[in-house]
Amino acid sequence: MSNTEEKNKMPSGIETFLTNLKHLPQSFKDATVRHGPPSSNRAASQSVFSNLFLHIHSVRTHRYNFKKTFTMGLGIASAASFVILAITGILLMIYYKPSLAEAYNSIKDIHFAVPGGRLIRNIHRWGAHIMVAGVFLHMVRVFMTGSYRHPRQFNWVVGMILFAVTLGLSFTGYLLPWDQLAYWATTIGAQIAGSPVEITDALGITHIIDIGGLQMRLLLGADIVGEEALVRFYFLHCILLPLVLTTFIGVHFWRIRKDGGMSRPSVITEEMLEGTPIDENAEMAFPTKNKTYGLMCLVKGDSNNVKNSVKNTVQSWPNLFNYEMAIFILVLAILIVLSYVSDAPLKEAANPAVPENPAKAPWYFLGLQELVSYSAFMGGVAIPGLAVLGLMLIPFLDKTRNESGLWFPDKNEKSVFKSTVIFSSIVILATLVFTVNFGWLRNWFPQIPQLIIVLINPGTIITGLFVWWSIRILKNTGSTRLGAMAVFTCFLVGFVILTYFAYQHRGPNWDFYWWPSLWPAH
Amino acid sequence: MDEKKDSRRNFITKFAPATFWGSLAVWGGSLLKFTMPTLLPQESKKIKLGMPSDFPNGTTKIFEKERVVLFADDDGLFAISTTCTHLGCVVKWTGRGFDCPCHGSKFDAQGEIIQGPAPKALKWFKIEKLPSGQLSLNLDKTVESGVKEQFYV
Repeated sequence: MSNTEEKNKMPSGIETFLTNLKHLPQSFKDATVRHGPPSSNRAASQSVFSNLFLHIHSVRTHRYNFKKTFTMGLGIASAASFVILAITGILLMIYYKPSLAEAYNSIKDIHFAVPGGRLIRNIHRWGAHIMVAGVFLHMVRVFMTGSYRHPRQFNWVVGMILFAVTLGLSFTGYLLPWDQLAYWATTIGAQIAGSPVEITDALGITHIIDIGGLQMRLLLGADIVGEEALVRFYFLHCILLPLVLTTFIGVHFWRIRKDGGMSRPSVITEEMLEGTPIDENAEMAFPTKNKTYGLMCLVKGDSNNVKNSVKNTVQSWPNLFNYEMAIFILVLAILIVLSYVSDAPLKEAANPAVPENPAKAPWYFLGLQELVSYSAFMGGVAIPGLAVLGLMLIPFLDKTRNESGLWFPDKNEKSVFKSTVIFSSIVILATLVFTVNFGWLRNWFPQIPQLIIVLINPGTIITGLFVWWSIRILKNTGSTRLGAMAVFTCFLVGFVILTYFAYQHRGPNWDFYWWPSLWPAH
Repeated sequence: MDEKKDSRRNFITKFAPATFWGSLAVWGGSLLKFTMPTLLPQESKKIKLGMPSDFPNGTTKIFEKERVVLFADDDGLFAISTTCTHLGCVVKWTGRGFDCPCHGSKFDAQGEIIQGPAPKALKWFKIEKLPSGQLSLNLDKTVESGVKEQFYV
């Protein structure tokens, strides 16, 4: 009797199971998120550092980072466009077929038959434009605000790698539709990779070491642009380069934190922080000049974060995340509007017998195409290589510890910027006008050796004058920062003017025309 | 004795990671080799032209797909490649010379450079006479610029 009573008091297995089932949503939530809703500062902090995807952010964000005229959200916009590109790219892979016979038709199917296919493809194409522009402008912002300085030198280098990989992704992407633009752009790109042959030929050592041929064959998988090239570009575009980009984006973001957050001036007035979110609690916090972390005692050395106080910071949740989501939504909205307004181009199917006339690259490669029209090796390999290398090394050659995080903190920077814009514009325009009107060495001396053309052409003359100007600024001002300002401004102006010129004023046979409507019919 | 032990330990502690990095380097190198193509697909490089009598003086025949133009003049037959020596675009025969649409190189009727970034003159291909008397254009063999062949009927 008493035995059964005891048995009745004990919950049966079924009952326990039912109770557990009833509490399932709550216990699942407790296991997933180990803190309450982010209503208090403590819970908001926990939300950030206990979440894999959020913890790359700091728990608190400096108010200066929210200053709209400082970063303009360009880095976040670039990352947002990459996320959108990854999503639309994965979707496009469902229908795209990487073979000579099917590639062009599968793009046509995506564009005309697949539900929503045209929108997805347009967003992917426009996203590429926005990403290239975003990365480029982000680089301009970082340079102009001096944010590459100690301790952020390495992150500037990572940024340059991201810039190069972004351009690589874009280039490998427009081969895939296998239309006329794709075929001829790839032909030209592969030949540029092979252009060191100009130098080895001139030196007569091509049969010993053929660097150009090796690079070209590695890219194309053959001597001609065909099936092998398409498969290789598909692999580069969909697997290798996105993997590299994602990895380096991770390093880039992680380094922002390790380098002590984003750059900011040493003295920040309340005026500069106008329009940014504020957290009164932060002002009441005790000074933490000497704070150390428990684990830090095991590690020798200084951390950039240790010196940071919580003064002028706000909770990252929700302030920073709202800001990031707003930029993401803005980028997405812009892409969708652009995609409705204008379709991604698709030319006629690739025809290896007849190139387009003119055969123009996308806008961000047009400046290079203009340089390449003077000399393949100089314009396609040497000058851009020198530019990227020079930009990469800036933080190691300019070690001045001036203010970071301000646009033009002193008058000298502004005046060097202005005079360099004027100088470099005059140099480029004069060279272009001269070349268009009078031609170049080959027009006057038809028998001139190729090596002289490679060494002396409008591209190398512009580059030489830029270097001369920057050294002059460096010498006259005695400031490496101003020298770097001159180099960077020359690069910027060169990029803008050459791109504009090739876009607007180059027509069939790469001849000069004032306006595309003046192009002869053919 | 102790010293000996120490140096052995030193050797092993250095040798172990060196083995790791060494094998990784060898493996990585062999992976790079994997990406170098050894099979280089190409199209057939011989074009059958027909009898020499099919090409009277003044003939200009464009082979668009094979990227070559065949000419016949007083000195004989000759074939000029239409692949630009600059960056591989196809140049267009204008009646007086060849123009490149991509980067503005211009060549004269003999394929010599007049202007633009092209590093070399256009290639000339070999024209061969087959035992049957037919002519064949061999795109694997180039001849010096200016070498024109007479094929008497």
